[in-house]
Amino acid sequence: MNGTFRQSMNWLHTWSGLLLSSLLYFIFITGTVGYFDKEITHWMQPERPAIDENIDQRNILKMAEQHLNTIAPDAQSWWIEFPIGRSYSAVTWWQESDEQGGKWKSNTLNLQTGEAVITRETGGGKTLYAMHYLLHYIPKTLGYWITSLCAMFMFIALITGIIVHKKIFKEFFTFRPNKKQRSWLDIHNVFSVLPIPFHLMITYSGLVFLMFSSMPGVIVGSYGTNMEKHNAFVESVFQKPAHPEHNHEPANTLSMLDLMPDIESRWGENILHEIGLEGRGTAGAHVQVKHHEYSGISDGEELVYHGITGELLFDSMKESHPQSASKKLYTVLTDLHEGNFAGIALRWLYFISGLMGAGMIATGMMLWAIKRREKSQRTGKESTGLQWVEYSNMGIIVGLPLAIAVYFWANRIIPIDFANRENWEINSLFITWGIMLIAPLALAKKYSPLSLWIKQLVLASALYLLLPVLNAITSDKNLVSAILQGDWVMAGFDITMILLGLSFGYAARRIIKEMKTKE
Amino acid sequence: MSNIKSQTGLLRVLSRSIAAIIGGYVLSNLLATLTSYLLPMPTVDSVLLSLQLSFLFYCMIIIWVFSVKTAAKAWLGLLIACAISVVGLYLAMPESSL
Repeated sequence: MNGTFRQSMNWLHTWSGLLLSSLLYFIFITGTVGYFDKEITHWMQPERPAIDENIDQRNILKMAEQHLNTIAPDAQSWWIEFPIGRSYSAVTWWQESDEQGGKWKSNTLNLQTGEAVITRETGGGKTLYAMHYLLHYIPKTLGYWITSLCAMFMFIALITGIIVHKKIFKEFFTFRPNKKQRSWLDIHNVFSVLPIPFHLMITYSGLVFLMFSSMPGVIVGSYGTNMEKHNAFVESVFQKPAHPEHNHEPANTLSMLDLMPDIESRWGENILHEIGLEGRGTAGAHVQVKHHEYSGISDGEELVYHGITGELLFDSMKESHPQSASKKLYTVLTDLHEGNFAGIALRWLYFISGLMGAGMIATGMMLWAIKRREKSQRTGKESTGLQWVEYSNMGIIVGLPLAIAVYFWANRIIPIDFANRENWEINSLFITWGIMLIAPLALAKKYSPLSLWIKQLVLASALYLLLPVLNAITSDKNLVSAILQGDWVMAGFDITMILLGLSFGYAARRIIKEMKTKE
Repeated sequence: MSNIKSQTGLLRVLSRSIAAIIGGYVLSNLLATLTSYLLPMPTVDSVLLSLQLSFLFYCMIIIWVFSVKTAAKAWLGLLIACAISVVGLYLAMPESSL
């Protein structure tokens, strides 16, 4: 462009970061929240029984098989998820036979009674997390394309951001508070520089996750436009261990309980994450067994048994199928992105890094507006475009977390038997976000921008601070009882909400103070 | 950078952005496909690796498009690179495919 290479890169950094910043902020926030998806779902289904890891897995399996036998005797697949690690309940899954529609269904078990617990319908943490690559209200493939485009813009902004920084490390230790534009630049650097390995990793691996949809040309080059060949390629990437051939001859399948002595002799007791019987009632039936520990960053060990004879067909410890370099790279990138292997400490680090990513985007948006505001004050020229950006910034940056708080509120306020309550939880999120985007513009004549910031921040703070109260009123769980019972997932959620509420409150107080010193 | 505000300046930026986003997308697909033909490994692995590299190509192309002097030069460069890759693809295409 005109000027030096560095100037061009500076321009590219600004615009590739800014143009899709609201979507990128949305993707970073919802994706980051996703690192605690199961914990969020645990809070959003307060009917679930208290976590009990001390019940022997053989007993759980016995209960689960009895339960499935009464509720889904004709299902083609049965799966049991054990309460271990980040699984906080015993859950049975079954897939209806093809004639019944082939749908997957699930029940949470009460391990005292062996009965199913009736839990409210909720999108939980899963829907919140899935929005970071599907978005919402639009077809799946369009969601993939838009998020891929956003990720590419982010990647360009990161690379050019590194290029334009002369003294990247020196700047990291520089913080000049209360200097307006300089302070915003400094905090932007703090959010960007320290977690730069995380930002690069998460953005590039995000692109890699969706590459089968976003870069079809490369696949067409070798496999043509034939969708069957196309799918065969993708399937060969996600190759699974040896299974017996599909065989629909009816046959008597074994009880998974019968395999437990052999599994325990190999792995020890109470170490299962999941066990599943596929192709029930047919000669091609097989049992898949998954260990709860991850091996390194990848999925844990796996066993496959024949579903009729009980013969061991596959043992991942013995026949680790050799992986090619490209497959390894793909696995490392996607495993790092998902962070399934992360224990509690590393999970919080993922969460904080993700929040810093969102903070990097938000401070970039602020910085752009403040730079132009200071210039317009010098020249005395008022621009409506700039005003528009300033008002939408608050609706994006504070409005989104506020809307997520409303998502949690909706979970408790919408009646249990309300039709489509699951969808209305999400609708409340987007309706709230919409209001938060429009309200500042509508109220612009009446209030100064700073006082509108304060209003949104105070509202967000109140909504988060009151969530533990709402939890206590609308369920038989509360922060105190959760701590006493050692239910740290429930307690952890409530405490995190209080901390978030306090943070928004602190931000509001800072602005109030600043307004006072101005007067 | 002041002329960006003028209308021709805006058009130039727009032209360059389209070159980067769409032209860059086409070229990065072509380059990654060429890479998948040239990598000495089974097709499944070469395609899988090239797909993963394609975003590096895309990123480098976009940065190049924004670093050359004029938008016209960027377009010309993209066209030449695309033409060369297509010839390369034709020459390197394995007989088994298509």
